[in-house]
Amino acid sequence: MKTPTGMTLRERVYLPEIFKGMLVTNYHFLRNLTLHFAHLVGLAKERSAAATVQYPDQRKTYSENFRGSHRLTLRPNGDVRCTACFMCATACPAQCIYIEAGEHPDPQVEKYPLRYEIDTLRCIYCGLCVEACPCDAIRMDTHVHPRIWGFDRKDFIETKEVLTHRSVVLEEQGRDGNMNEMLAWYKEQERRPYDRLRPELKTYTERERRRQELEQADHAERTAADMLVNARPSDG
Amino acid sequence: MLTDLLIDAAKAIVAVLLVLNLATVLLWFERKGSALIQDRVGANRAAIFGIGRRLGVPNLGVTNTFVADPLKMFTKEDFVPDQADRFLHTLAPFLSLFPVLVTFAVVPFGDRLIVGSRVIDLQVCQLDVGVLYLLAVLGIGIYGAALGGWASNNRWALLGGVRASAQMISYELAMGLAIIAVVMTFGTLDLQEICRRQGGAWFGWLPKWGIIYQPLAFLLLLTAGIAESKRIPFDMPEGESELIAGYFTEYSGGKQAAFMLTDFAEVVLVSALVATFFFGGWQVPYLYPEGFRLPGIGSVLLPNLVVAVLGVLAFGLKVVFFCWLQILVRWTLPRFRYDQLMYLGWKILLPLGLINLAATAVVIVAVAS
Ligand code: SF4
Ligand code: SF4
Repeated sequence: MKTPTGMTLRERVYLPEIFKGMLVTNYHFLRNLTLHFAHLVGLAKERSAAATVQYPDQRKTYSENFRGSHRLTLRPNGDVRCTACFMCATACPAQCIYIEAGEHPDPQVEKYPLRYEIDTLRCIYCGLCVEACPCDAIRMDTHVHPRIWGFDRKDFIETKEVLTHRSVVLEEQGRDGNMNEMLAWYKEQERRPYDRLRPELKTYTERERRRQELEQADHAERTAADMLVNARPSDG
Repeated sequence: MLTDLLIDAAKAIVAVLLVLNLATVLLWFERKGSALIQDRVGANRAAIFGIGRRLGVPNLGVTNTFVADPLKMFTKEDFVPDQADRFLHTLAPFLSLFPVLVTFAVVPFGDRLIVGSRVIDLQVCQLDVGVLYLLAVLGIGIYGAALGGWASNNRWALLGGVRASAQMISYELAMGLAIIAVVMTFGTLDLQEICRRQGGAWFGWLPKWGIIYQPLAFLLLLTAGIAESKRIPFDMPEGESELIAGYFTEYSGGKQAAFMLTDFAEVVLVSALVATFFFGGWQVPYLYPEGFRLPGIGSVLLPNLVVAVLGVLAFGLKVVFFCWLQILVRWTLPRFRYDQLMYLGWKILLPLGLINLAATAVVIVAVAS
């Protein structure tokens, strides 16, 4: 074995260095042990005994400039600020913004979005929509991360109502409001029946049979469609 | 006659149960202790109907280690790989656990206990060749790992088994040399006798413990012992990043638990040996068979029962301390490279052991003449 160069004799004897290392280990051990005991009797609560966060009991607050879910900002009178100019939809590299423009009753405002939907399954949270917006109508400062799970794709499509509601919540409840709302949504969804279409199918076998039936039906449908396509006379 | 037999049986059962339980507690301590060392919280989720939480007791991962884990271990499928040697595959975990447990037979855990006219030696088996027995039985332990690796029909397991045998043979030498130096110092092979000869004090205050005669042998034995128990930094045979889990890759359920238990029982064994050879075993400083004799203060007379119990407690405390020390080492050091391991074993520990042996011999002859 080559002896590593640049080490002092003391380092090469190794034992003193091990001892030093063990002192460090031991320091952490004793400090955390003491802190845990102190916490038990209600002392030193502000000093944490661990560097880890006990999610979901504890939550780390996102930083001020965290780029989270979108929201549509509101005018002072509560109307949505967006003028349906389509700049965001054009800038969006994922092409996940769908806007349907409508005429605003107020002649001062030209257009407003009848529908404004973001497909968050496609969104890459790049923030280009926010950059593109000329009226500061869309922002990503909600301090809430994208929804992690849902039962079907519809759960991930954020409509105009959802997006404007976030602005209201942010206004009323502060930066934790939207996060709390999302966690409440998770809790609510946990109680949702497994198969929303057929809540009476409780057992796994029943569900499985139903799934196979659907699959077969789907397959039959596709085969029929294929036959149609194939039967179409070619343009030759 | 029958009473003797019963007493022996009782001592054996107590010793084995103590070791196994201590090993399990160590497993728990390793989980929670390592969490503390690494600024984590560790296992704190498993609970039975949330009873502890309702009573306001903090969840210390006790259910996790003592209920959930054993349940899982013993209800898991006992898997034997295709084309593995079924007999040897089953034999290996027992062959690895058994030698460790039987070595405790010669480790004394207390002084004499006098009940009526009967004198009970607090040692499971009083052997005149205790040290030889110890080395011999420890040597068998290699077969468990080697066979487990060989019989699994798995390349990683085989490599792990080969590494384990190479490592254990290398370090057994250093361990043997360290122990021989102790044997020369005390002039006996009987572990109980070695403990007895560590009684008393020099200048009235310095306990005549083995560490004072043999500090180098202590370091050698501790290092070789940690290597022998195949734990980090010497866990080459298990090296997860290279060999999946080494020689017990193909083990599941109870058999895997046996291997795991072996590891922790070996930790206890190494602690017990270090305590016995170098820290007076059950000796309490200034405690003599008739009571305390404190230097410069005076003496307190104690009945034999109290002295014996104090001795057992002292031994337990020493063992626990060294277990803790080993766990601390495990969470402090990273794994050695294989060449470093061999270098340390053959080129450092072995020569040091020989030098220590020669020096001991010279000193003994010089003192005697
Ligand atoms: S964040 Fe990026 S991907 Fe998402 S909607 Fe805005 S522009 Fe599109
Ligand atoms: S959000 Fe902004 S960029 Fe997008 S359509 Fe509305 S006003 Fe235009």
